[in-house]
Amino acid sequence: MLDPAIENFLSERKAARIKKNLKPGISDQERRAIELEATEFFRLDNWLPDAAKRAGWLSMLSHPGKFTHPSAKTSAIIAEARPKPDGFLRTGNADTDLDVLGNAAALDVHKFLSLTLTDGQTVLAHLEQTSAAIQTQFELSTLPFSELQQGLLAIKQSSDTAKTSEKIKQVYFPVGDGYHLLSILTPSGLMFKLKEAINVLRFSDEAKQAREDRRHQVHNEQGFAELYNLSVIGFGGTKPQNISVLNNQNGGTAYLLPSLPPQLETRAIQPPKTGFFSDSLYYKHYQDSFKALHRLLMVNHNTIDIRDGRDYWISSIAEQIIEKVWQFRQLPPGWSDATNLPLAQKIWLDAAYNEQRENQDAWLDEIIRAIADWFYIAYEKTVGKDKAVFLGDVELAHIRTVLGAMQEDLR
Amino acid sequence: MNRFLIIPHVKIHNANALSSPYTIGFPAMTAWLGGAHALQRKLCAGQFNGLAFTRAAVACHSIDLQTYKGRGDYVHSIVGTGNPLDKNGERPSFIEEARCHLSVSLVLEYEGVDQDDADAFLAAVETQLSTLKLAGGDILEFKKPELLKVNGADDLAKLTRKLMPSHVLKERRDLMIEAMQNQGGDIDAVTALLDYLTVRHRSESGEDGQTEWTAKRKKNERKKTGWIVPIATGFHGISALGSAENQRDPDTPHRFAESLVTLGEFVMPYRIKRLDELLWHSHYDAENHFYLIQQHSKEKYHGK
Amino acid sequence: MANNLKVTVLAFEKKLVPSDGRLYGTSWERRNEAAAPLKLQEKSVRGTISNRLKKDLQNDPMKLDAEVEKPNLQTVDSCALGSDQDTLKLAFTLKVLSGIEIPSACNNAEFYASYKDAAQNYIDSEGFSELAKRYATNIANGRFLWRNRVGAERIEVAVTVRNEGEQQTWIFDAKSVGTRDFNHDHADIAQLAAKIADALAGKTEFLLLEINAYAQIGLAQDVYPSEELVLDKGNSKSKKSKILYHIDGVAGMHSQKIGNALRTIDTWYPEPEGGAIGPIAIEVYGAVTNLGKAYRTPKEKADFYSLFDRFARGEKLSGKNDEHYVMAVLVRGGVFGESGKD
Repeated sequence: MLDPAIENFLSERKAARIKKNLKPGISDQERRAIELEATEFFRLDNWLPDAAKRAGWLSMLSHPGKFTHPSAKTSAIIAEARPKPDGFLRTGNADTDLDVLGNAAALDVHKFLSLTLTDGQTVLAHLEQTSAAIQTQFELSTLPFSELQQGLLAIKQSSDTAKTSEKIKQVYFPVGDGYHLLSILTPSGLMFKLKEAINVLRFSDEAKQAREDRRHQVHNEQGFAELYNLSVIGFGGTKPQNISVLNNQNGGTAYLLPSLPPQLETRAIQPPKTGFFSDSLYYKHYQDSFKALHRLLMVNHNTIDIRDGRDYWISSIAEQIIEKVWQFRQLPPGWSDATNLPLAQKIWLDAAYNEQRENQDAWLDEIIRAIADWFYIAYEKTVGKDKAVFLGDVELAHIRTVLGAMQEDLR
Repeated sequence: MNRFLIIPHVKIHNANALSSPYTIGFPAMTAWLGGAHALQRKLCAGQFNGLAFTRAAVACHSIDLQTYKGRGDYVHSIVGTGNPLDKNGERPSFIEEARCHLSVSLVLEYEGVDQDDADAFLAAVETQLSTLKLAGGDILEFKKPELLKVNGADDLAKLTRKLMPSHVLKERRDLMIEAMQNQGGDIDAVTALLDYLTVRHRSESGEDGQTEWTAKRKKNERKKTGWIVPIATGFHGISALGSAENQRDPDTPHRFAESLVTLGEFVMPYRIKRLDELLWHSHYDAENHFYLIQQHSKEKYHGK
Repeated sequence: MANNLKVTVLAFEKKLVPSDGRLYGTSWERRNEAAAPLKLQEKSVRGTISNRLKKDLQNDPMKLDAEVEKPNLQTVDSCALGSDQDTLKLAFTLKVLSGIEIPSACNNAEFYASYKDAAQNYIDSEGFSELAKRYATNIANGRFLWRNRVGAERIEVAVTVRNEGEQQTWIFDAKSVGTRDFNHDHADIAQLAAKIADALAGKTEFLLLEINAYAQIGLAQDVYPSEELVLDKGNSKSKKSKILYHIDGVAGMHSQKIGNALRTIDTWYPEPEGGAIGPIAIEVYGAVTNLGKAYRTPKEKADFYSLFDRFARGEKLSGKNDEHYVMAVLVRGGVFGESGKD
């Protein structure tokens, strides 16, 4: 018995061939001839030896050069690397498909070799293992199994000589006193594996349902995950098949994950006129942090986690202030001349005082005290005077200690 | 004591933003260290033959990625450059190139320059850098390079303040290693990576029957995490060392390789408290065929 | 051709490195005093969604979602002078580098040596004076303004040397310098050309020029920044039909576009049917994009590869003009190994 997958493969192609050759208005006799020809053509005894001849027109590989440049011709590498929890996205650390390059007239051979048989293994895997099952399946009157096997497995043979291309990025990497020269290739299977994973997040029925539920504010047990700011890259324009089989299957596009720092605030800023704390810090911007701090202040017990949590929010507010400070330091030096800022603040904020800022400390003590005072007021303002926990000398001293530890960050 | 060459505010045009086959944005660490090495070679060829740039950091002041997103589009598209026509006057088929314009300050740890030669060294740096490319892009301008000695933690702040405001990369391979270890046997780097990059939307039904949806990023309880991004930090050799037809130099051992991608964290420089959280160096791991640009020593990951 | 001179990897870095151009608006009378950055206008309600995230958006994923789900609108970009501005200012820098005799990659030592000799011969005998004259002319005539040059009342180009310790400025009346040919003996252009030639020939390490062009085109007139080539993968129904280039919000001209104008110096291509069309940009096949035509074909042995094969191997080309063309392609830069021909 022929495996149903193989059976289907052949009968589908047979039907397609008949359909293609049947022209309207032909005689019954001609129709029978066409059907007979197709039946003969797709008899395993005939088709398989032909496929074995054509398998060599294709090559399976893991890293096609054409993803770098459509005319880059490189060796058909099949990379093998063992999985390891080494923290890298790389070949070996994910299950991937091999890609295929070559003559389009032989792509059906690749499809055939990729068929999954009833035992869950592919034809190709069976051939590579020379399994008993496949030997039985492929017992032909026309060609001995060994020749058939050799022919079909030609799809995985790479040439003897390694070949790179000037179209490929070739990178020198220092090793000891010399270098290694690396031709950088694209693992297309891994790239499209990532695409598949992202598409599951975006388009799976579960994800769609969960999004729908959120829109209607209905509970959904699984929830969903979202990736923002993806880019899409195209390979081969309107002819993705010119790049590779996997590329064609993926419509010639893959996703790129964003790898960007946060945007620094570049909007025009108003320099303070009389005081940094009153003119430049808006309580609203610090509301979330103060509220989080407030929740921890409300807790009665005093574990190390609670203390760490409080310190975290104090320093994160200070960090927000530091980022603000650097905006003013970008302004043309001397801008504070026209203001009534206290000297300590001028030193802190105006690039004209860079030297004093580095070499003196008195101004910094003053600034840290001023930040602690602002903390006291800002906390009350953002949380509400009636709700705020009273910050006594002990608490203020602690805030000054946390800020003091950040002295060099604040400088 | 560590000695540094700082090249402030280098403006680079059309740098390569395709840092790996999976990432777009800030150029790969391999490209930056490659640039530092190219500068070293140029300077060594001149008067400073003992010079070595041992480690480097790149502070990103601004980056302008050349992508476009229309309203209602979910994804960004790459903004291309017109390729020249071929001999038939037709547009050849091509692979999209991702570009960015950016402004960075370079921090290069160096040794092998006599302190009496400081002025000549700085002048040579200025001349040589003007003729180089960096991360695949053109250097349009930069501010006067300077030298700085760093002695201990307080001194480090002097260095990091010079880089403000900007963001520098910290290697967070530790997060990805942990995620992969927690997968128990069936390692899947794709899932481990995406886990830190997605926003999870979850719902809870309250007592009053009201449903509340929240959105959160993955946090690591023990290891603090901030602005986490995927970064390309090296290459993975995928064929034996040997020689290949059409290699750009027949005398250097050749092999095929692919990008290595892991996690990184962008932080503002003032938050860096140790030099090795700032600086990157190159390392060849022969056992795994890894060509790495890394911050931490091998020991950290393999517990030696 | 001897097989031992086969070179499969060969690349050159470009030697003329322009920045992007930034567009400003001003008035002719006050052009040297003040100019305001020109913004793009979108014929619709809002500015484009940034590809960069603000930190607060990252921390608040709910807002992110809202950002993504904003509604669609049909729009185009445009750019114009303000109602009190009659003059466009285009500002860019240009770096000229030496080292043409050294490829950035070459995997055949014999070829390398033979090419280096040929290039050195060219430098010694020509000193890049002809190419430099043509590049200088294309700076002085404001060709890089492209469509903004058309219909301008007056055009002035100010060029300043920005190398450390040097101070030299030329002011050109661009309309008096032609764009059809390079046959002139303009003294200031000759000075600028000499600077460029010295850098290309390696007599100086590099040259850095700042270029400010002023075109008086009339109050509130439209100006033309570069158009973006978006390889659109979006799925939105309403597409923006014209996307213009900006740099941090300032209307911009692509560096590639400026580079293309500067190297529009090829008048040496074979006479096509219907007569020559004036200078074309230096390209390996003499391709002119907007005409969809290549003026230097391998059939006539007039393309770069045919000529360079002979030049680099020490053969004499049929005339100086062919040598100028070959060197100009190398100044442009690119990847030129044997496999690159098809």
